[in-house]
Amino acid sequence: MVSASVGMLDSPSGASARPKRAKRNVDNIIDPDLELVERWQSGDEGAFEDLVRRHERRVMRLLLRMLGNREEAEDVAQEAFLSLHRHGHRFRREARFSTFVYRVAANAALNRRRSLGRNRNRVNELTVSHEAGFDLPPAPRDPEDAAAGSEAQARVQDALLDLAPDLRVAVVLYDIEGQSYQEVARVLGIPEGTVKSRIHRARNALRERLRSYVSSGRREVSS
Amino acid sequence: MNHDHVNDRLSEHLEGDLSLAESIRVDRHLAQCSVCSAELRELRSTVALLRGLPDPEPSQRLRASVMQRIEAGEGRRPLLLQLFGPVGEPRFATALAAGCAALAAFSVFHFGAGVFLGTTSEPSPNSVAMRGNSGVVTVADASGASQRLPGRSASAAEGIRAILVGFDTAMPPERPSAESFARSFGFSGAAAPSVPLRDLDGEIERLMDDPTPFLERMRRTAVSERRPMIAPLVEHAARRGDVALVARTLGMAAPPTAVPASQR
Repeated sequence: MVSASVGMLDSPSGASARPKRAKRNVDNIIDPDLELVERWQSGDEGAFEDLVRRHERRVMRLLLRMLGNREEAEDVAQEAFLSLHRHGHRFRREARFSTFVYRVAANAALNRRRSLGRNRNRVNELTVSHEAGFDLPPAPRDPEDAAAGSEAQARVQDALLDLAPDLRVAVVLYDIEGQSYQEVARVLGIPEGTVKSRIHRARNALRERLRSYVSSGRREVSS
Repeated sequence: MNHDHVNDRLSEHLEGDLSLAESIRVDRHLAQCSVCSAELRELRSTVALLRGLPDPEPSQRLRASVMQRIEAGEGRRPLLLQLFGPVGEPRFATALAAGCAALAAFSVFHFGAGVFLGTTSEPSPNSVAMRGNSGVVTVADASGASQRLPGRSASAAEGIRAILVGFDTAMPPERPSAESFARSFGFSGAAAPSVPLRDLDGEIERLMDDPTPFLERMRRTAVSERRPMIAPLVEHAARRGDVALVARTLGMAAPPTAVPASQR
């Protein structure tokens, strides 16, 4: 069970399936990135490219949900990978490399939000957040479902952007990225209890924002 | 259990993270409370909506752009970080600590403790106890010339050379504990001087908050002028006799233990 979820999470091919939550202690798990990391830290830039290939999907998913705009997410993803390259020597194998990647990407997203400022954030949320749900629409059964699904996705993304960044990053890492409480705590550098509290508050806030969807029986975004 | 208690636990209940006993209590309440059970349904639907968001496909150009930018040199660490490690991390602290300590030792052995105390008289019993160690290491002084410096810590030599001469030396990876720092250089927290001194607490506090401007300032400063920038920190520590303050300033692990007078 554990190895299956880890394998999916760290699939070298960057499998498209949403990662399953890893409900386990991550300390005793062999890091599947370790060999590549060692090659890269020994000067093999090709190994770094392989690491980018392995992690680009999860980085994009996190950043898209954090920022709500695909173009901006790609910009920040580039910066995050460059930052990873600059600071890779700080990776000390105390956690898995994927946790380190998430940490760099989450910091990049939070820093981007801070640098843009509150007003511009709001403008972005209002004008571009709908893009986030449309980049990869699910395969619906019929056009009516497609419209409903896309609208719901846009509403969910809007609701995410309305959350405070510290709540948003916690709920994205847990519910969308499938990280465990322990892993989220490591990524964000906060206690597990704080992680649980933030996720609870974030979900409740989202529930309020999405009440028209979640109480109408329209339970799924896609078919 | 009332609504609030249950509401606080719904998220964990949904994940199956509650203890069996607590889960049973929540279930009992849910069976009798339409409000809370509706909230649980909404919460479950909310999570389903979140997890149903589409998975973005990274563009083909993302990886290529990253690698191109790395090839163009954007992925390199700044020189300062290459040499010292990230500011605030152990390598930086080690370097600065070693540099300050070595400078102190260098100055004491070449000019006497009076250089720190603003006097040329012999150190008084209240003066800071600093001593060299049995080994001899070579460091470069502010002009870049090499000096033989008493002291057993090669890291100190490397530290002072890097700070004073040109940041051209890789720092040792090990981070000294505050205690070893104190013992290596004979600092003693028990020898606080009573001399009224210029207050450098503000400078220390600023450095503690963010060492980057300090390092940047040094980087832009001519080699010959660097020592005066380091000296106030050492001077402050020396006059206060407060190794713990230096240790905290430099991000050391723990306050040092005083070196007994008999060992000075």
